[in-house]
Amino acid sequence: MIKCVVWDLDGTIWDGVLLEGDHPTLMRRAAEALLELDGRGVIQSVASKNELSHAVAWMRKLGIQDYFVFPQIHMGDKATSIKRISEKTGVRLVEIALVDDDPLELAMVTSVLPGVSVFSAEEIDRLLESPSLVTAHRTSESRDRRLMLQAEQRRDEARTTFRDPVDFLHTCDIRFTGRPADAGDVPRLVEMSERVNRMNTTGQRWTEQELAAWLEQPDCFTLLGVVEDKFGSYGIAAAAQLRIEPAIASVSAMWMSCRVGRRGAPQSFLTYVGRFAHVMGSRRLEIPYRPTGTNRLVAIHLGQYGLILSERESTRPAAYEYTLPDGIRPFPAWVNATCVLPEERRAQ
Amino acid sequence: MCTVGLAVKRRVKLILIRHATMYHEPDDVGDDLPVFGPGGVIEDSLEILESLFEIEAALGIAIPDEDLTEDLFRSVERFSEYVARLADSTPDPQ
Repeated sequence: MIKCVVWDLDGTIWDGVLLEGDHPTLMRRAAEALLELDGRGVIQSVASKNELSHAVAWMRKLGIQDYFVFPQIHMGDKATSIKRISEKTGVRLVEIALVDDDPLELAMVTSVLPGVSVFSAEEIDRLLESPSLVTAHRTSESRDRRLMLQAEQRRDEARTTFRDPVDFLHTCDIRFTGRPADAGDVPRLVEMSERVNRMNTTGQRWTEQELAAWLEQPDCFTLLGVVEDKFGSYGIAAAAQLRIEPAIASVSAMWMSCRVGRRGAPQSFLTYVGRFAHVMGSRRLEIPYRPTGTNRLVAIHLGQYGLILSERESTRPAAYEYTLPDGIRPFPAWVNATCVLPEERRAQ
Repeated sequence: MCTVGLAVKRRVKLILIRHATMYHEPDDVGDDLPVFGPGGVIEDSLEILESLFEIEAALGIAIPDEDLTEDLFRSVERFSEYVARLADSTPDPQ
């Protein structure tokens, strides 16, 4: 599935070469495609060999700079730029397409990053008609993805003005809200189950029916983490399917947006889930983990929380476990957390 | 201190700075800095992920998921010692 289109500038977006002193104008088909892709919720970025301030000024003059997130404008190679865009946006390389008028650039990117789809400037129609192009945006989170990434860009810019990262985090006004989901959250849950790969504890996809049915089952809860800061909102950035059983609570699935990692969101969410389970009377929490080849970030973040991975047994997968309430960590000092907890049950 | 350890630590730092926001030279990266997390060399999830893949590829090792603990990332020194030991115990591919 293509979620991000990376554009070359000279000869692709506009009809000239800035460094040769041209004053290029927008290529009509590319301009139409920019609008159409934006309307379809596709993330767009730039990989261009140009002088940064000059290219940015020209993009602004043509009124297109707001369509792009994390533009990579420098004289370095485009494969590196695309890897950087992937890191910054959280879109995997296999979900990225490059549009460039230079066949040599396309060939070089293909040789270094074979997963990236490449299109020449004449193939914009083929790109727009590609069945693998992401189309649906059912939720405000997907509709506002570009705005969310632009907020991320502003965070990155603000971050570099602070030497101490914790000082920076304290200035961000990060707010975390933990709450149980209701039926109105199902579209976002479907989307997370479909889209989240890197921070998906089991790799399993849940259907809309399964997600809706879970909300109706006794002792089953879907918990959500909503994250926002002064730069913008990430919306619902984490979700967990929690089953409370006598003494032990288990997380059948957990999804987290990988962009919120450094806001302390994984820690905040795990703390919320632990507190919720504890109030429900559970003394242990287990989070089964099935490595899928793409979800290693789960191991990194759960390990960072101090959780230990138990060995896989024949009857059950490996799981991260902690005792309640001892294993529950405080919220990070720079997070202002609000949690909706159930009425306290008597510990069983 | 063994020289292999020093060489590994330098390679680790060189890879980490490629993905770090605030560190650009290996000499800027103190041995006692955490590898990951607020205040660490790497602050972002995807960047630690990429760094690990590159370190594993460069040293021909595979870090098991169960070893990705808070303690492993406690300091560049601790992490480098761990990967050096893993590299020593990993047979060269035939």
